[in-house]
This record gives sequence, structure tokens and C-alpha cells, in this order.
Amino acid sequence: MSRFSRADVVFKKELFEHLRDRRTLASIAMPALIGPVLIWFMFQQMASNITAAQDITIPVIGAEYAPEFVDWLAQNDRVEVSTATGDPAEQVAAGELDLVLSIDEDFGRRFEQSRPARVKLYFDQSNQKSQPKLRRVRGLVNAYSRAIASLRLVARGVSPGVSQPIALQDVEVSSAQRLTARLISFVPMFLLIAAFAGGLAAAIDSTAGERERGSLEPLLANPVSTDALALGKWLAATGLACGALVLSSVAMVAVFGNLPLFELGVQLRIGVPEIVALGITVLPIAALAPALEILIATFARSIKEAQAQTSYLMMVPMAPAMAIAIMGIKTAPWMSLVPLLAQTRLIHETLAGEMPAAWEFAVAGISAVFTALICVQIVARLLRREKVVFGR
Amino acid sequence: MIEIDGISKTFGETRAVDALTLEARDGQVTGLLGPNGAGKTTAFRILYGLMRPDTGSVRVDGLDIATDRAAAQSQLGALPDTHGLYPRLTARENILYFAHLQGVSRPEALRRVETYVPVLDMAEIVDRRTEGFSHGERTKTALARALVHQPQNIILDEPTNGLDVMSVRALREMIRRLRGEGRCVLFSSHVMQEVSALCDRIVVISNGRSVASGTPDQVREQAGREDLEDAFVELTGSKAERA
Repeated sequence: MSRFSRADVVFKKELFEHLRDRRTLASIAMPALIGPVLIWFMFQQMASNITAAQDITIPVIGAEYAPEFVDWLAQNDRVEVSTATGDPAEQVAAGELDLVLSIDEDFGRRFEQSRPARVKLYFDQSNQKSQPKLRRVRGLVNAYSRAIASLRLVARGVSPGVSQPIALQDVEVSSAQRLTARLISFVPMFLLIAAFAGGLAAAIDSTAGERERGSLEPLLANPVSTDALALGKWLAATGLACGALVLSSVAMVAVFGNLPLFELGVQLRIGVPEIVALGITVLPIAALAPALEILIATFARSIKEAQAQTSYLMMVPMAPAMAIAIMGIKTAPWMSLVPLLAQTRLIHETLAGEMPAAWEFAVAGISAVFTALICVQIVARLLRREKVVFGR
Repeated sequence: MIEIDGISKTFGETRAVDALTLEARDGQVTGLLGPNGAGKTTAFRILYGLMRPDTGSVRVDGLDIATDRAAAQSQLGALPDTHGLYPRLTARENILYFAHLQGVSRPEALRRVETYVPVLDMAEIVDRRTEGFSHGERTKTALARALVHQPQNIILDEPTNGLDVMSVRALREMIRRLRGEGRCVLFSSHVMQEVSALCDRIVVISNGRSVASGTPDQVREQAGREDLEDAFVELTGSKAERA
């Protein structure tokens, strides 16, 4: 009889028991789906903001003083002009209007005299949402102003270039593109969370739960080695964590496949191959995380204690990513051997568009699974200690 | 056949079991009688291999639990002090899990479950999830689970604790059946009537030491008391009696 015989019995029972429990299934599905759902909502929100900036309506007071100017504004693509009434300052401050363009009574007279004609733009700097719209209106007014200036110079026989010593060219890096990149950088974190949360319920229930229910003592009285017990329990939790990870990856692919990217004019750097690569990168973590959770929960005397202690573990998936992002640590080859750090590095490279080589995935995966097996071995030893089993 | 030879176990300053020697024979019911905290549970934990004794040895059908642990455990059916079930599994699934861990095939295990259902009066509960089982229902399920691999030796740690009359009856009936099949039954109790009603042999334990052993009559004789309960009080030096 080998050390690991009947681990399959333990594995099947644990998996069966957890798949039957609705609460466990919810605890797997919720963290797996929260990321994709959040990304979906954030993107929709972003899209509606950007669309709002593109199709703008400019409330104008005193349109009758400058009909040509207002007509010119309205001729621009996706611009409409409406007539505003009442006190513009009040309405903008109250947030009823994002901005108001107020044309001075003297506009026509001063315009004819080639003196600066006055137009007031009311806006609220603290209203973040109105900023793109504000930029657009400023741009339009300036464009009209420049066009008139050029015409006046030409009429006076001067080259329009004289009034423009510097030609500043705006190279627009779309804000949509940048926001999309930021959303994509959340993807690996959500996948890691799915891997860490997916096996958690099973890891706690099959260790601290076993002790709390008083089923550990009869279980250990069976002629099955603690190696087989630890292995079976770990494999079952790993199976659930992998399930959560696959669910999360599939949901991510579905979300990114259905985002209104074209409408936003965004070029997506992440596609199905990248998400699959991310999934493969994180997969060994779905084996490592339950092993760490089982190890921690084996020490806990109750399910509650185990939940409290493993909750700190949920910060682990974020730590290496933050270290690299915030402290700007350069990725180095030795990192391939450190689980989690290795995965974080692979994720960074994948997202940067440099797909790592297959052997790099393999090395990172093997080191994670190897660490997991060490944890399982420690758990098997702990279960042979009276102090751990009986909590003395 | 269970042979416990001079086992001792100390936790810090407390000597839980002190040179305890005991023999439980096949075809007999042996009772380990002692007040709460006398060391019965610790002795049993050593017996089914969950604790290592500081000194002494335990043999089950001649197999040393320290060196032949798995083989000895296959010959043991244990109903420990804590006998929790898996709440999301039915009673039948709980029993089958332990059967598989003991290496019993599925059809054979299913067949055996059917034989326990009438004896332990489990027809109504066998396919219900054990979540919400009464104490009696849980004990019956745990007992069936301990017996499913048909062990030659059965160890029951205070099995009748907190059971109602009907459940105690079912349990006694089961114990008599096991004795009739020639098995070795060892059970602990702090209840006198329990032991005198069932046991062929009694070992009285106090402060981890065996203070008397033999048939109920012999124990009465050793204590010099007619009534077995008086004998128990005399032997274990209960404080209640002295007060």
C-alpha cells in the first residue's frame, strides 16, 4: 500500500460534498465573476462619458448678438446649440448645466471695429464630467477666433502666418485608450483573486471545519495515511480554484469581446490569446493558493479563526503586482523561480505585448506547484501531531 | 483481541494514563468504567493510533499499533469521543465514505448499509442529509460508519452519552449482536447500569490507573461491596461519597 493510496477517495468525497453545497458554489462564482462584471460596468460608464463629450449641446445666451458665430458653431459635426435662459452662473454652479456660453450685447459692434468681441464661458472646474465638453467648446471658440484673425490679416495684405510665431500641434492620445489600458491592468488581479478565493471554502471546511465538527478524530482512525488525506483535500480545493479561474477567464473573454471598443475608437491590446495566456499563467496559482490556505487553516481551531487568518492571504495576490508597479522594481531572471512574483512578471510582459516563451510559463508553473506540494507535505506532518489534531 | 500493555501518557504535569494494562477478548464485551477525567478517552486515542503513548504498547489481533498502524486500524472500528458527520452528505454517503477509506468496495458497502438500517432503526434517516440530525441519529450513523468494514474489534467511547431510551436500546442490541458474532467489543462508560447490563468483564479506571478488573462479581468482591455502584465509588474514591 503506497503512502498516497485512497487519496482518490478523499478527493472525490470532498469535491462531491462541495459541489453539492450552494453556499460553496456561490463563494466560488462570486469572486470569479465580480472582476468581469466590474470591468463591464466601468467600461460602460466610461463609454457614456466619452460619447457625451463627442455629441455636445452648447447652451448659448444672446445668440441674436452674433448670429454668424452661432451658425458656425452649429455647423460643426456633433454640435448643437440651444438657447439658455436665466442666470448662467447659478445654473452651472447648481450642476443643471455643464457650461453656458454668454455672448455680449456689444459683440456685433466690437466685431465690426476689429476690437476683441466678448464672450463669457461659465463652467465649474470641480465638475470632472464636464471637462471634455469644456475643452471642446474652448477649442471651437479658439478655432473661430483664429479663422477670423486670418481673414482680417489677408484682407490687410498680411500673411496669416505673421500672427502665429509658433504652430502648436495637438497630438491627441485618446483618453479612452488610456482608460482601457488601466482597466486591462486589473485583469490579472481579478484572475488571481478568483484563484485565491475559489478553493478557500473547501480548504477551510476540510481542515478547520473537520476539526470543528469533530469528524477529524474518526477520520484519522481509518487506515489512510495523512499524506493521502492532505493530498486528496488539496486536490479537491485545487479543482474548485481551477474551476473559479476558468469561469473568471471565460467571463473576461466574453466581456472584452462585447465591449463597445469600435465606437470609442479604441485599439485593444488584449485579445483571446492574451487572456488565455494570463489564465495559463495564473493556473499554477490555483494550485498554490489552496495549499497555503489548507496549511493556515490546519492550525486554526475553528472555521471562524481560519477565515480570519486566511483573509490576510487575500492580500498576497496584490503584493507582488504592487511592488513592481509602485516601487518600480525591475523584473529580473531570478524572479522566475519565486511563485507569484514569477507569475506577476509574466503577466506584465504579456500585457506589455511581449508574449513570454513557453519555458518561462513552465518554470513559473513548476515552482508554484512544487511550493504547493511542500505545503501539502507539511500539512500531512501536522496531522500526525497530537497537538495539532487535538488542539492541546 | 485487544491487548494494552502498561501504557502511560502525560500532558504537561497531568498524568492522564498511568501504566494501564487491559485485555479485551473476542466474543466478549469489555467495559472500561471510570469517572469523567479518569483517562478513558486518552487510553482509547492511543488504542486507535491517534496518540503515541510515552511508554507501553498496544496490540490489536497481535498487530502493534505503533509499527503496523494501518493493518491494526483495519481491524478496528472506532466510535471516538467526538464522532462528527459531514453535514452535506446523507447518512448513507457518510457511511460509504468511511467504507471506501477502509477499502470496502461500493456494492459490498451498500449491501452492508442495508443490514444496519433495520438493526439501528435508520430507515427514515438513511437518505437524509445529516445536517440537523438529532444526537441519537448522529450516534447511530457514526456507529454504522465504524462498523461498515466489519472489524474484528470495536471500540466505543461513551456511546450512550446523551441518547434517549430507544437509541440506547438499539445500541445495546447492536453490541449483543457483535458479541454473538464473536467480535471483541470494548466500550467505556461512567454509568454503572450500562456496564453491569452488558459487560462480561469490567476494568475500573481511576486517575489513569486500573484499580480493579474481572467479571462484575469479581469487581464487587475486590471492592468488598455488594452493590456494583458502591464498589465503583469505593474503587474510584469519589469525592461525593466522602463528603
